[in-house]
Order: sequence, then C-alpha cells, then structure tokens
Amino acid sequence: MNTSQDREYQALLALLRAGLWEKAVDDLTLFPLSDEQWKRVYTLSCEQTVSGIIYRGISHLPEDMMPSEMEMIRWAARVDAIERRSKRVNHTLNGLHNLLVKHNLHPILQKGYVVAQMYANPLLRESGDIDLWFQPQEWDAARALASTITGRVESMADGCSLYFFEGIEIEHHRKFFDIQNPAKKHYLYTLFEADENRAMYAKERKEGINKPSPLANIVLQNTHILKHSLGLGIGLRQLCDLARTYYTLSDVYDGEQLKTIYKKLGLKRWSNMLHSFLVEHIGLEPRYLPYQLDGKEPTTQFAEIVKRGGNFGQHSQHRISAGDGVWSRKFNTLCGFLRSLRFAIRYAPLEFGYRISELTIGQLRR
Amino acid sequence: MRLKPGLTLREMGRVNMIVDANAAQVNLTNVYSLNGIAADVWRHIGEQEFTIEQVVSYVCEEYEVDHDTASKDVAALIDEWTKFGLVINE
Repeated sequence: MNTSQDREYQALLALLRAGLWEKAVDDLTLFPLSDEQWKRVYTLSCEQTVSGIIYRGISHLPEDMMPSEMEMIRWAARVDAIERRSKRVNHTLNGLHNLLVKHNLHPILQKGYVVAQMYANPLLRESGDIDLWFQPQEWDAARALASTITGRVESMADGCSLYFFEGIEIEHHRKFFDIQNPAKKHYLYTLFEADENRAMYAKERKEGINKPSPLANIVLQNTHILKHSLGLGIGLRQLCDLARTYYTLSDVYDGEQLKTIYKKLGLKRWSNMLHSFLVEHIGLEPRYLPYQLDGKEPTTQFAEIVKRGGNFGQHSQHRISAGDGVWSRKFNTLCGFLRSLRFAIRYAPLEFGYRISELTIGQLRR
Repeated sequence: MRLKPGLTLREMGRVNMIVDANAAQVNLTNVYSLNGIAADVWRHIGEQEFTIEQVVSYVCEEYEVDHDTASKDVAALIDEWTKFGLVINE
C-alpha cells in the first residue's frame, strides 16, 4: 500500500473512532482530503462495512475539512440504504422468530441485532445475516421447518445450515462458540450450562427473543474474531462490535471472571493483543477493557490482517483473484489458513490445528 | 398535505439532504440537497399534515420576512417538493 493509500486508511480509522464514540476527530493532520481520496475512504468503508460509523465520524470534522457536497451525497445515499436494510432485517427477524416460537422452537440470537443494540445508533451498524443457535434437541425440527418454508437449506462446511427468508440470509448454528479444541469446548459449555448466573442466554427475554448473557456474548465475539483472523480475514466492523460491547456491558459482567475464561481457553495472549488493538486502533478507552492490559503485545500483524481482509476477508486481494469455482474456493480457504500460519502459531496454535482438521473433514463430507 | 413518510433529513455540516429510495427499483436513489431555510421548514413540518398558509406563517415569524415574499417562496418550494414526490397531497 503506497503512502497516499495509507493516509486514506488512517483517515478512515480516525473517522471510525470519532463516529464510534461520538467525539471529535483525533487526528486532523490527515485532513482535508481531495475528492479522489474521499472516494477511496468511501470504498474502504464499504469493504469494511463501517460506512454508517464513518458517516457519523465525518459529522465530527470541522466544516472546512468535510467532503464536497457531491461526495456527501454518496454518503447520505449509502447511510439511508444501511438504515433501510437494518429495519428490514429487524422486521424479518421478528417474523421468523414468531414463526419459530409457534413451532415451539426457541433459538438464541447471536451477534447481529444483539450487537447492534450496543451502538449509540443501532440502525447505522451494517446488518449482515441472522445467526440463530439451536439446542441439540431442536436442531432437526428447526432445519425441517426452514426447509418447508423456504424450499432450500444448504449445509455449510462448518456444520451450520443456511437459507434465505424474505430475502435475508439466515444461519442455524449447532455450535454456540467458535472454539474447535474439544477440551476447551467442553470447558466452555460446562461453564455456561452449569451455573444459572452464568447462563448461556439472558434470563430477561425482552421482545421475546433469547439473547446471550453478557459474558457469553463477549466470549462468542472474541472467539468469532479469532476464527476469522485464522482464516480469510476479519474486518473493522467486528472489532467495533466487540469494543462497543465491552463499553456498553462494562458494569454488568465480572472482568476477572472473563480473564479466567480467556486463560483457560488458552486465549490470554490473543486477548491481550486484541485488547491492545481495540485501544490503539478502535479508540476504546482502556478503563472499559475487562481487565488491565498485561504488557505490550504488538498489534502490527493483526492490523495488517484487518486492513487486508475487510469484512470477513471478502475483499482480500487473494480472495478476489481466486475465482468462484468450488475448487478455487476450497483452495482459497486453504491458502487463507496457510497465510495465517505464523500469526496462528503465536496466538492460537492448537485452535488453528483443530480448525484446519474440522474444515478439511467438512469439505470432504460435502 | 404532508411530507412523504419514511424520508429522513440528513445533515452533514452545512449540507442538508433528503434521500428518496425507489422501492420498486432498488438501484434508483434520488438525493435532494436542501438549503438551510428549506431544511428548517422540512424539520418544522415533520410528520404533521400542513397547509401552505401554516408554513408561510412559520417562515414570516422565524425569518422576519413580509407575507407576500414568504407566500411566493413557500409556494415555489412546496411546488418543487410536490413535483419530486416529496410531498403528498391527500
């Protein structure tokens, strides 16, 4: 990436921090930008699915540093589309949930809508798919129902079911946490299922939809980011999600308990690096971290993964050039893992090994 | 008459914009730029039903402009919004 492109990415990060925390832009030396540079910032924000946050960030710039009117029109149209899509996804979620409850199915909603509520303006968080976790005894019935109402349910390599309902992508998950190591997985499920106070889902069922408990929500997001970081890549939006979650839930969970969980999962070093990244790049104030940073863990390699990958690695150069064929995609996934090797060995070697085995078995089964 | 429901006035610095997405053709989105007074009028009307005379009174009060000038300007503004489908005559 040349210097000009790096400046645009740095401008994106400065606007992201301003928009995410609704505060003044912390580095004005990056501005003003030319129309061409604003176009690039716009493209980057779309690739990283953070346009709504950047839009808010722009509004914190001094007026003489804002984009031209023509450029602003582009942002306004994008933000309007994001809001409309969020409303549509919320509407679909309610409809689908009512249908599931009618059939005596009670999934826990993961990420998406739950995480959006952590933001100052939930509608400006770009909505992706709807992720639902089902208990083992409900799994088959949920899949059968999905098949009946949509006609087509696809099985993915990681074991989840995928279909479209009212044009929105829905995923049914068997696994609540993105952890492959069987011993660690067992530890997590035992921990969350054994104790009422640490239940996997919140007991208060606002709006009738089961949501993860604060602690489960945080572990879910952390391991989800790890999973994608070890594969094709992760984007800024998922990191904003975790930062906003730490901030919003800071008073309602026990940071020391979370530290113990991370340690037992073998994710202490990984989490320390992730927390450093949230502070340095996303602008989370250290006091909102679950516990104090344990020394200085360099974030350079992870920052490069985030910059390169965009939203779940969908905009990685490697991914774009790999083509759309089945074998190309499989090869592409494998290459993604191999590129992450050095990173994985430092932060989650065992998890990386288990993940490769799981994906290989999953691909062979399909 | 009333403003078309579902439209949000978006402000970025001095620029005020209304985005009107065409539901039938998702790729067709119109963005209208409003000057400061027009944006103020838009905000004032909000979701309520309104008459031109009500808007004229508001403009006269807020901007110390004579009734005839305000009537002419407001009529032109509402006419333009109606033409673009931003105002619904019920």
